[in-house]
Order: sequence, then C-alpha cells, then structure tokens
Amino acid sequence: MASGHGHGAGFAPDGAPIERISHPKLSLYFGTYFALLGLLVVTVVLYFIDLSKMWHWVGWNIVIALIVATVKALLVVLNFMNVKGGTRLIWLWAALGFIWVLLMGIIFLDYQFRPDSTAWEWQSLTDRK
Amino acid sequence: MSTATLKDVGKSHDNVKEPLNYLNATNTIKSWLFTVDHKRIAIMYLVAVSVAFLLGGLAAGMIRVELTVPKGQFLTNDAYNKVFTAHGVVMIFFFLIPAVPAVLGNFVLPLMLGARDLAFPRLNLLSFYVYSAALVMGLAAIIGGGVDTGWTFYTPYSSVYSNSNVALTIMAAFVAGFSSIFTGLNFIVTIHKMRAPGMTWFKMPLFAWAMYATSVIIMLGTPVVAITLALVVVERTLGFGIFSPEIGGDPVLFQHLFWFYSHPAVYIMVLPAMGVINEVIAANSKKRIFGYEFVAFSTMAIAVFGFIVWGHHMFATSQSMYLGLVFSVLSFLVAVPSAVKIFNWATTMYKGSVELTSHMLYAFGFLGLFTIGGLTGLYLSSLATDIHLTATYFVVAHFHYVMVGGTAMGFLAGLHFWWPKMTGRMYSEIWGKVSAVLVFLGFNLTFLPQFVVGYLGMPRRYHFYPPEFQLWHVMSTGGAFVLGVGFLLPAFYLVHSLKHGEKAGNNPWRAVGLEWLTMSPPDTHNFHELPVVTWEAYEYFQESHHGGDVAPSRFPFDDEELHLAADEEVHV
Amino acid sequence: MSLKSLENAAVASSGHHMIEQKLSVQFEDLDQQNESYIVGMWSFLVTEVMFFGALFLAYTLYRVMYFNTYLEAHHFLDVKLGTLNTLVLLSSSLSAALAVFYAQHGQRIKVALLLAFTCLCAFGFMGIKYVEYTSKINEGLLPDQNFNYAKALTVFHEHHKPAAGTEENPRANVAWEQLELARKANQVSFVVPKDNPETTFVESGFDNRVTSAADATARVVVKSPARERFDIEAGKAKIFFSIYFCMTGLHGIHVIIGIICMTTFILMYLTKHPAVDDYLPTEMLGLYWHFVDIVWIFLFPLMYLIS
Repeated sequence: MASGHGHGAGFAPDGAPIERISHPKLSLYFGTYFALLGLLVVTVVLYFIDLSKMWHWVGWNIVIALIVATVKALLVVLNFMNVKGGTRLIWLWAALGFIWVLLMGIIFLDYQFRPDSTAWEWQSLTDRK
Repeated sequence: MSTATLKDVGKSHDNVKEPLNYLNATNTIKSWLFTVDHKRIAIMYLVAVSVAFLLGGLAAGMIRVELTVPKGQFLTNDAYNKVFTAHGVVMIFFFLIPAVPAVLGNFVLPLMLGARDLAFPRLNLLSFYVYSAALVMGLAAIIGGGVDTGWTFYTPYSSVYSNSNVALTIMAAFVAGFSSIFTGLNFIVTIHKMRAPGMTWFKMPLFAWAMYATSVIIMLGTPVVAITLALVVVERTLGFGIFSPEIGGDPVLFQHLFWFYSHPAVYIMVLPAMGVINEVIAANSKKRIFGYEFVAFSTMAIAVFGFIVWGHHMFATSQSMYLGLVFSVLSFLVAVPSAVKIFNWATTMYKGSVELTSHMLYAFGFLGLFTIGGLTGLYLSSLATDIHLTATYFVVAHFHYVMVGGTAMGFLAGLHFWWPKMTGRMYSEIWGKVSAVLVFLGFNLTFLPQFVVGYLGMPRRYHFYPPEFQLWHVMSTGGAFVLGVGFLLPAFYLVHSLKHGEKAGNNPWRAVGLEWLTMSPPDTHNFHELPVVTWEAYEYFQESHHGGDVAPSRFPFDDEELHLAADEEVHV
Repeated sequence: MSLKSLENAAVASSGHHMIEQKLSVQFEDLDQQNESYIVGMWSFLVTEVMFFGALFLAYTLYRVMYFNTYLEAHHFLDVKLGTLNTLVLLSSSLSAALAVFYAQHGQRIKVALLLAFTCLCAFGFMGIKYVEYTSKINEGLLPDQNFNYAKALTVFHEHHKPAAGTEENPRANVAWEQLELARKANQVSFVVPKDNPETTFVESGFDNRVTSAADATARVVVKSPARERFDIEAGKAKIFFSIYFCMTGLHGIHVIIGIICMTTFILMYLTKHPAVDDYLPTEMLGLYWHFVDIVWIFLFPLMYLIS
C-alpha cells in the first residue's frame, strides 16, 4: 500500500504529507465569539451616530459599517471555519469566492457612465420638490 | 455484487470467459441505477444527453422547414417563438453544457489522472439524477405549451407579459445548473487532490487542464444566472419588481446578470471540446502538443478573461457606451488565447505522423469551423459593426460555428476516440469517416448562407422575411438535412458496434495516456495499483527506436502485457 | 468488492483526534480524504457566495441610485429585532463550531446537544423573521399587487411623530412629502383609527386592480403632480422591499435547509448511525452554517442600518 502522499503539495523527502489541517483549541472559539459580540455593539452604536457631522463626508457611516462587517466575516471565516488551520488549497477557495463576487461590481460602471437622461432620476442630496 | 477476487481482474481464462470489467461486473438494473462508478454514470449521461440532442435537433428541423418559405409554412407566430426557444433551451442547457464534461469528462478524467474514481462518486450520481429531473421538467414545460421568450428570457416580457410556461422552463434550467455545479465541484477536487503519484500539474494531460478551467467557470458563473432566473420567476409569480421599468427597475440589469453567466457559459461549452481536440490531435500525430504550457495557460486565460466580456451581448441596449468600449477591447483580447491554441495544434501536426482516422477528421473539422466562428466573432466584438449585425442571422451563424462546429465536433471526436475504451469495441471506420464528412459538409451548407443573409439584414427569431432572402434559406435548410443525417449516422453504427464490432485492445490508437493502460473496457476500479508517473503528458517518441514502432514501450497495446497479478505494480 | 481488502479503517495518524475515520476506496490516505471534502465544501460555498452576490449587487445598485428612498423605507425595518436576530445567529455559530470540535473528539452526546442548541437558535431566528414578515405584510409592504406604500407611510407617521427638537435627516422623507402634497390636492384621503390601523382605510383616487377593459378607460385619473411623484417614489420603495424580501427570504430558506440538515444529524448522532462515525460531515455542516451566518452579518447593516 502506498505510503501517505502529500497530494496537496507533492511529496516531502521522507514521504510525509506537506500540509495537514490543524484544529484550534476551544478558547479560540469563545474568544472569537466575544469579539463578534463586541463588533455587533459597535455596528449598532454606529447607526445612531452621524459621522458626517464629525468627519465631513456622508459616506463614512457606510464605509465603517462595511469595514466592521468585513472584520466580523473574517473572524468567522478564519476561526470558526478553520481557514487559519487549513491548507493552502482551502485558503485559495475561501478567498476566491469573496474576491470573485466583486467582479460583478463592473456592472456599476454602466450606471455611472450613462449619459444623464430623465429616464433615470438619480436622487440628489438636495432633492426637494 | 461480484465475487471475483483481485487476481481475476484482467485475466481471461482460456479465452472462454470475458474478463470482468465495469460493464459486465454486475448486471441488475439496480446496480446501474445506484451505481457510483463514474464510467457507468458517464454511459447513463450519454443516453440522456443524446435524447436531449435529438429533441433539440427536431426543433431545429422544424425551424429550418418553417424558414424555407418567406411567409412561413406551418407555424403560427406564437408557435415559432416557442420552437426556437425550445431549440435554444434544450440545446444549451441540456446538451452543450453537460455533453463533454458529463460524458467524456466523467468517463475519462479519473482514468487519465490515474485515480480510481472521482473525488465524490455519490455526488456524481446525484448530479446525473438532478440532470434527469431537469430534463423531465423541461420536457413537461415544452409539452405543456412551451415558452416563447427566447432562451435568453429577457425581462420584462418574461417576467410580466408572457403567457407561456416561463416559470417551469426556468426551473428546469435552474435545476440543470445544479447538476452542472456538482459535476464541476467533483472535477475541481479530483484534479487538485487525486492525480497519480508523480503527476504534477504540468505532467497532466491538457484535457484535464480544460476540465479544470471549465469547472472553475461553472462554479463561479452558474449561481449568478440561477439567482437571476429565480428572480424572474419571483417577479412573475409574486409580483415583486426588480427588473420592471414601471416602478423604476432596470431590465438591463437582468441582461447584465444573465450575460455575466451566459458568456462564460460558452466557454464552458467550448473548453472541454478543445480539451478533447488536444488528445485527439496528439494521438493522431504521434507527437506531443506543441507549446504545452502555452496551451495550458491559454486555457486558464480564456476562463478568466471570459468573465469580463459579457457586455458585448448588450451593445445595442442602454448600456453606457464607454463601458461598451471597454467590453469591445476586452472581447478582442479574449480571442487571443483561443488563437494561440489553434496555432499550437496546427504546429503539433507539422512533421507529425498524421493518421486520418474518423476522430481526426472531426478534429480537422473543429480546427476549421472554430476558426471561422472565432473570426466572425470579431465582427461582433467591434462596436460599430455590431450595431448593424446584432440580432441578425450573422450572430446565429457565428455562434453555431463555434458551438456546433466547435463543441459538437469536439464531442463527436472524443466519442469516437474513446469509444473503444468505453465499450471495448471498434466501430466501423468507414461509416465514421462518412459521418464526419457529411457533418462537415452539411454544417457548412447550413450556416455559411446564414452569414450572408444576416449581413443582408435578416433578423433572427423571425419566420417571415423578404423574398430576396429565400435562396439562402433554402440552401440552409438543405444543408440542415445533410447535417441531420450526419448526426444520426453515429447513433446507428456506434450502437451496431456494441454487438458486432471488433473487440478492441487496450490501446487501439497507440496513444499515450494513463487511460490507455487500462483494459478496454476498464475494470470497475480502474487501476489495481496506481501508476507512478515519471513521464511527460504526451511522450511520443519521434524516432523509431524499435524499427517502425512509434509508441513508447511503457504503453503496450497488447492485451497480454496488461494481465497483472495482484502484487504487480505498474512502475516504470 | 475485491478491493475492500485494500481499504484501511485507519486510526487518524495525525494524532489530533481520538476518532476513527474510514478511508473510502477512491482515496489513498486520510489527509487526502479530509482535505478533499473540505475543499469540496468550500467550492460549494463559493457558489453560494455568487448566488447571494447577484442580490447584493442589485441591492447596492438601487441603493446608490435611490438612496433617499432607501433611507426612508428602511425605517420600516425594526432595528431591535434585527439586532436580536444577529445575536441569535452569532450564538448559533459558536455552538456549531463547538459541535464540530466535539465531533472531532468523538463525543456524541455533546455534539447532539450543541447541534440542538444551534437548531434552537435557528428556530428563534425564523420565529423573529416570521414576526417581522407578518407585520410588514399587514402594513401593506409585501411588494406584490397589494403593495400599499401610502397606507404604510401614513400609519408609520401616525405612530412615529418625531420628538420635538430633534433634527430629521432632510433626505429621509421624499415619499412622505409627496404624499402630504397629494393629500392636500385631494387625490388621497385616509381615515386611520389610532387603535386599529388595519381597518377602515379608505383611499380615493385610483385602484391598481383593473378588472375589465371598460374599467381601464374609466380609471384614467388625472393625478396631481404630487400624486405622480408619490407613485414614482412608491415604485422605488417597492424595489427596496422586493430586494429586502428576496434577500432575507433566500437567507431564510438557507436557514431552513440548515435546520433540516441539523435535525437529521442530531437524529443520526443519537441513534449512532454509521454516517456520523466520521466527524467530517459535521464539519461540512458547520462550514455551511457559518456561511449562513456571514451572509446575515452583511445583510443586517446593509438593510437595517442605513443612515
């Protein structure tokens, strides 16, 4: 019977596999959970604060909210889903989906660059009729 | 289950009993319906896909008959819409997308990689049943009145105004998409994790590279069209509005999301066929594929670039013209890797020992027809000419050249190439050649006139047209009948070979590849011991070291050399 | 099968786990098998990302185009319930991760209990969703033929008079302003009893449902410009709610699938079914559940917390 091969990354000289999935300790799970709860509090508090007053741009709220959501998602992916302890192949596929979905953002450019017409009434900041 | 032991496999006992292989190991219906053997699943897919092809072909026949006369023959407007929609939906979702991966990929890929099966055999079986369910749903939709939106389901006609079986047809396509995803998932993991020891990525046959690229496209693209079509159904049944202009929605958003998948889908259709062509040309030229790395990288490049060109289907919509410019340039660029591959194949044949077997004839057909299809695609990529040519028969001719001249030829080439391996029988070579020539001639007679008539202004999806176009349509219909005969012939002589064909050895074409190391047909578990690969993918020796013998000795084509005892290993 | 003799019911050589894993015939060793299953599950999750991605794109597109509408319409979503849902889902994620941990150590009962807790949280999530959905439908906000934004806005403003002295976001009332103007022009009239907003709600002007051709011509009403503008705004709000229901609905369907799978697993663990002798199926289920959680992590701020 053939000895264990590192099918993910080829042989090591002694025939042992190159990469192996390792599993975290319990404390990591609980730590992640409390971090997530904390970030949830941040998210909700952020909703009630209007950052445009402090930092002079209306976009800050959504940007920070998305950053916070991304950090939460990263925590879940790396720790709960054990990508941190996985092989390179697992890491590749974990990253691929989230990056690829951004590709659809090209569709945005269509709407940005259309010549302005009355068909699309973009709502301006001072839209009060 | 069989009671044979390891020692029995591969041995013929005094030429009385046929050796046990995947076909005759068990004979009950249950053993077929519940099989997890990738080879049996491939055979079942072959039957299902052929049924779909026949149905799509019948619809095509109806279209061509209808179009022989300028005022239409026997179909009402509604009926004609339903017929061409049925042709599109069945051919695309039920033949072109699954054919090469699910039939040839399923059968050959594990053998080619030196694996005992795919990574997830039960998922493979599920994939087949999901496909079958989808096919039944599609049939029900067509028989129950059909759908008249065109296979592209453009909103708001499909989501609000159409009175046909849109929801059922969409669900059929949706379910078929899942079958495709399961197959792709299986292939990706198999190629990553189950190559034989010593087979690095660059020692892998190019067919496997093609399967990998195809599977990546399937995984990344299919879900987008699935959710988009699901939204159309929701809009239709529940009245939600996302694509409806009356409430501020954008129908062009549907088109963006739809074509985000459907353009890469054409690469799902053509990359596997290109993979087959690699194998066929190498085996029939007895020469390694010229520029292996270039072909491998081009395959991946097509997969990646194919995702950023979808806007070229939307040049005539309200899509921003600046974005249109970008899509136009990118569409020109995506032709480059395909061209690289055509050049590499041509160069492979140069100074090769070319044999004009029937599968090589199909491969020649592919080279010529795919080139024409690809070049005419450039006219459509160019913004200015596309405004004139879009939605005319020029587009129809272009995509039939790449899809039929490309994918269908590739599928037939592969079917003929691996038929001895799959069934252990040789088919009639003469009939194979006749069929290849008929398909080639019939195809050109059908679709070359369509370039002309499209350029002259004949719109697609119309069955009434000005009388001056009739000559071209009649030529096209004539060609379609020749093409139909050419496609039908294999059904007869291939099936005939099952009982009456000469028994095939394990390597009738003297090709190089792990699949040719196994028996024809292979044992249920493919290999007793996995071979250890130390050679390049297409290691054909040019100089004859053995007085005229061009296949390397490690690939015997004599059955006796393959009878291994349980403890013997295939090491070189 | 003759090749069964080649199979090893190997004790995992990694030494991390005390559980015995069985090697399937197509694999050569356990590491290959484990990694294959995990990679396979991740590629499936990639397809799920793309599945939701199109909806996120549609959401983002319409949010950028119709931001004011979104700002106004999101007030109908209950932030408290949304936060509670997020809390519930995060907790279920923890219990799912713990279930996988104990599965790797072969502790059946703990796994079954943790999966049951996850299931419970999932049920709680669906329950809260049910409450949210029914309240929306009663307010007339389900974006089908019975979508009635005028009614919903009026009821909302009756019950949510802004406190004196607070400053409202000037962009957040486009539709309401048009509605008020339309009311002044007598295009719309409402009677809303304070105690029971669902009854006695009369709208004069026009009825979307056309029952006959004759009716259709008769119903062409000359609307005041304000009423026209309100209808446009209502249309945009209908898109907001369409996307809201589609996204949360799709997410809800995934939660239900998760519940079904988890219940099956609980039963298998309790009856010592051989399918769960290996920890890998549970790990794959855990991956799926964490994905469902991640979708909600993004959904919640994007839909509920628009400011």
